Amino acid sequence: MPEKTYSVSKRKSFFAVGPLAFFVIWISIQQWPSTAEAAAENPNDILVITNKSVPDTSVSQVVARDLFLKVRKAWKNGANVIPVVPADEKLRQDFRSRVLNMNSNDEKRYWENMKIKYGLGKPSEIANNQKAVFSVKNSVTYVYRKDYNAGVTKIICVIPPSGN
Amino acid sequence: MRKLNNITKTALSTIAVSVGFLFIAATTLAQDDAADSPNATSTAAVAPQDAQEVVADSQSDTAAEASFANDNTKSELQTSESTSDAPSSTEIEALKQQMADMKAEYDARLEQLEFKDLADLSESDLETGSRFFGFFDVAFMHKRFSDDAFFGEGDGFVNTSPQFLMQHLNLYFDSKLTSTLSFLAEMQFSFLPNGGMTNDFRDTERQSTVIVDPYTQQQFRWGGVMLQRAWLKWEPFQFLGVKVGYFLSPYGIWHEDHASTVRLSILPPFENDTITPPAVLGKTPMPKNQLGLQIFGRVFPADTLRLDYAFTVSNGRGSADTVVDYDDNKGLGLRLKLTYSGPKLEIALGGYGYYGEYSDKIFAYWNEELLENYKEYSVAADFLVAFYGVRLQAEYLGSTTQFNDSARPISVWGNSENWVTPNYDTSLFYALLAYELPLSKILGSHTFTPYVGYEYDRPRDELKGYEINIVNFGLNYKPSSVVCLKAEASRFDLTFINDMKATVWTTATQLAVSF
Repeated sequence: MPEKTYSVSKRKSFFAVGPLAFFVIWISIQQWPSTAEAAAENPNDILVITNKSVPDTSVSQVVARDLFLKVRKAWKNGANVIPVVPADEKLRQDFRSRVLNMNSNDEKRYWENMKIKYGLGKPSEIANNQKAVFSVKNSVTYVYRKDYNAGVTKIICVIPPSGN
Repeated sequence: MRKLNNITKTALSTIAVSVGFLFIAATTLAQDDAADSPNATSTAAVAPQDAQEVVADSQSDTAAEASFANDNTKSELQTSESTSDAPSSTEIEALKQQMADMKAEYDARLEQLEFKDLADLSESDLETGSRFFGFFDVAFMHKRFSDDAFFGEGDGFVNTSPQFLMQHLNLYFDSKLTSTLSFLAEMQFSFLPNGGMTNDFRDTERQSTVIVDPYTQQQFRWGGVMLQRAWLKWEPFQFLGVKVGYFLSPYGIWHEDHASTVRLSILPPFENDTITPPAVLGKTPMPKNQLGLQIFGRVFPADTLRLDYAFTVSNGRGSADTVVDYDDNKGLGLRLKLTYSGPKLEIALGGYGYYGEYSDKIFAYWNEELLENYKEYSVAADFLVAFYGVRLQAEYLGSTTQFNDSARPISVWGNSENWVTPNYDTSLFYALLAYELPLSKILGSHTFTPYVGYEYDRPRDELKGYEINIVNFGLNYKPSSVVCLKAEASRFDLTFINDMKATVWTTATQLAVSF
């Protein structure tokens, strides 16, 4: 009899803990950062580039997201981050999809919410964002690799096309 | 053949010299423009020093390169002329290559020079400015009381007729003065105090603010402006900033995010005074706004982890705390919030502890009398998990109120000796589960978010049996990022002292817009 009781309680424990464990594993897998690295440079890579005054040399994709959502507001030397976004809608759509995990509407809602909650404005939009970042100290933006003008700014993060 | 070679040599030399001169002229003109332009002068005044240096370096490099290239060209030509009258095909190829290199260099430098047209763009251009914005909402609401309810229709506490309501017209003024200094004010316009009810259970007479213009006989009902927040923020560092002024107490999720366009539900949690008289509810466990100072900051222990803190010092709560603070004890509070923000999952856990003293005095004939005085110890906790459109959030508010024996308010409930209010505890809790339906591929920007919530309130434990249980469910529909339509039904189960009960169904729809 005690063995049967043990068996039942074991089964109950499994049903109680099993879904929870499955959930935790599933979430962990989803959260695991992609280890796929671009073996070769792809012209459609998105490069996160900064003004040369920025001391940070490399940031993760999560940090890049936080920079453009104004969650992270300072570089490692304490200087204010100035995010600049391009006017090119295709590039922005790619960046939303790869980095922000948002669609256009999600992003609009995010900035509406930030405006109402904290008075926070969205980043400045400049057609030639690369030139703007060349000029403005502590600024950061993103471009396709094929459009990158080497030497005038520096790269802190490379985001390969989805699926790579 | 020799003639042809000479012609070729002359033509190439002319082209090379022309390119050289053109390059020098373009560089000189560009430098002259930069030096002469009033914009350039103002740029020097406002642009960050490093940016100026980069631009200046770029220009001087260009001039040096041009000069260098020109010298090289001349010397090459001289060498070519002096050594041979008839250059070989190798020499011609070399010259061609040199010209191609010069052209490429010239194009690259020209491209860099074009960057100077944004050199007058500075940090202040991107990070400063002023804005007006806000939100408003209109609702249609109906309350229905159960037949056995101990209060309801006709007793003057609540209105049971279906009606339209406009509770919010909030206007914000935001100004980024510098990259570290900003100002924000939020004003809530209201029809109140007209139609408002006095906070006295025995007297429910409503206020009237009707006045008549003595010249035109036109009647007006004046309304009010409630300041929600007005502060100056200085944030020199991410880990340290200061706010001074009137601020929202930094607790909870939907307290600071109070806009009806942001909140999912229509009826805000912990504001169940839609069914109960205000005198029964008493005070909220935590002051909603405070006048004082807030030191705040954010640190990142890891890429996906952030810790927010805020320390508050204020007048605390009082009968007129925004105008006069009747005691020396300042309200003190500490907020901590830890957030994990992964690529597709967000988990946040926050808390705020507050201690303060409430005082109300009356002055008459050079004498003052302490009418009411208590110390309050309050705590707030909030939890949020969001992933793949699912949102689960919960908040708790609790407080202990300890009266000064010489300044206890009168109790009308007969639940204590001498008819004075005893010390009491307050506990409020709610949880909400919502799911944004994954229909973006079909509906585009339209989003549908059904939600269900539960709230348990024990506003004053001194009133034995006084509890409120609320279950609500609804649908939040956003046709765009600035418009929100909601439909909601709530069931309130209220039990009061002496086992008095009431069940109230509230149905409401709301249109909220941010602008």
